[in-house]
Order: sequence, then structure tokens, then C-alpha cells
Amino acid sequence: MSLRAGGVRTWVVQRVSALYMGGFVLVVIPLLMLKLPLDYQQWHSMLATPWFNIGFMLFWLALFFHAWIGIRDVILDYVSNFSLRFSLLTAVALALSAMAVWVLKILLLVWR
Amino acid sequence: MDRPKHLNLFKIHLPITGIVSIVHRITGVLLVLSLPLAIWALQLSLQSESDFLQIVSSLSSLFGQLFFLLLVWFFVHHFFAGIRFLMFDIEIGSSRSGSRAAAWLVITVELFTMFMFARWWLL
Repeated sequence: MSLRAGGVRTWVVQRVSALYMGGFVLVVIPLLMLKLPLDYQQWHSMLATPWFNIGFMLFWLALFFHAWIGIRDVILDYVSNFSLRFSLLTAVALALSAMAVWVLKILLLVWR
Repeated sequence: MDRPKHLNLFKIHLPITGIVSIVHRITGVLLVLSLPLAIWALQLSLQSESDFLQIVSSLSSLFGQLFFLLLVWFFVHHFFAGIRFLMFDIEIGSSRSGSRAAAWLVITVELFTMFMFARWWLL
């Protein structure tokens, strides 16, 4: 049985997700630093602003892909036992997926 | 599968490039491990004003400030070391001497950034 891992597509996703997150952080951090201190209303309305909300959702999407690739590489490097490796990869995939759904819920509820 | 194995981390001498690289990996893992906490904080910060204020006061405590600073440091190293790798992808600084210089540059920029951030954040 062959479970392929990695390849050009994985490499591209890792790089593109990194670039998006880097760009997002470089734009948002200065923006935030200028606006601080923020109260609850300001923070909430900033997260509710459409471009920020959607851009932030994309940030998390990029993050979970990026994190998956990174952690998968670490597991592949250090865990040689097939069953243990398979279980760990599955557990990590589940955990990241669950967190992604959690974040989506949080960012959607901002528009409640 | 009885090949020789040497994993005494205290005896292995890594060049600076190796140190920057393994720390990049370690910070990556630590950042992923801190995700549940970060998402939890995000949720609390948005769900009500009292929860928001609780997050703010936690971040303002000494432990909170140091913990946050540590997480920021993990991110900052991962970020700048990551840029070094992206430069390698487009053949910049990937020579033997170039990669050493780039590693020292990452460390310098990282320390400067953390110094500036800590000064701004803690004051």
C-alpha cells in the first residue's frame, strides 16, 4: 500500500499559505497597533467588518493547511512505526479540522 | 534496521544554520500546540464584554504578559526563519556562506524585533 505524502503541490500550498499569512500579519499588526487600545465595541466591529472578517477567515484557512503540512512533515521525520504514524496523522488531522470549524463558527457568530 | 544511531543532543554540535532551522521547526510545533488556547481567547474576546475584559486583564497580568511575549517570540522566529527559507526557494542566500550570513541576519532581526516589541508591549 502506498500513501503518498508531499510533492510539488504540497510545497506550493505551504509557501502560498505562508505568503498570505505573512502579508496579512504585516498589514494587520500595524493597523492594530495604531488603533490600540481597543474596547469591546471597537474590537467586535473590527472583526465584523466584511473585508477583515473574510480576510481573517482566509488567514485561518491558510494557517490550518500550513500547520497540517508542517506537523505532518515532523511526524513523517520522527515516527517510523507505520501504525503509530497513521494514528498520529489521523489524530492531528481531526484536531486541526475541529479547530477550523470552531474558528469558522466564532467568525460567523460575529455577525449574529 | 540496525543502523548506528547517535542522538545525544548534548554532544551534537549544530552549526548556526542548523540551530536556526531546528528552532524554526520547534517554534512551529509550539505554535500549533498553542492554537487551542489562542482560539479560545479569540472566542472569549468576542462573545461578551465581560469576557473581553477578562481576556484583557489576563493579558495584563505579569504571567499573561510574559506568556504572550513568549508566543510572539515563537512567531517572530518562525516568521523570519521562514522568510530565509523562502529566499532559498528563489536561490537567494542559498550558498554556503550566504546561508550562514542569512542565519545570523535572522537572529539579529529577530532580537531587534523582540526588543522593540517588548519595549512597546511592556510599557
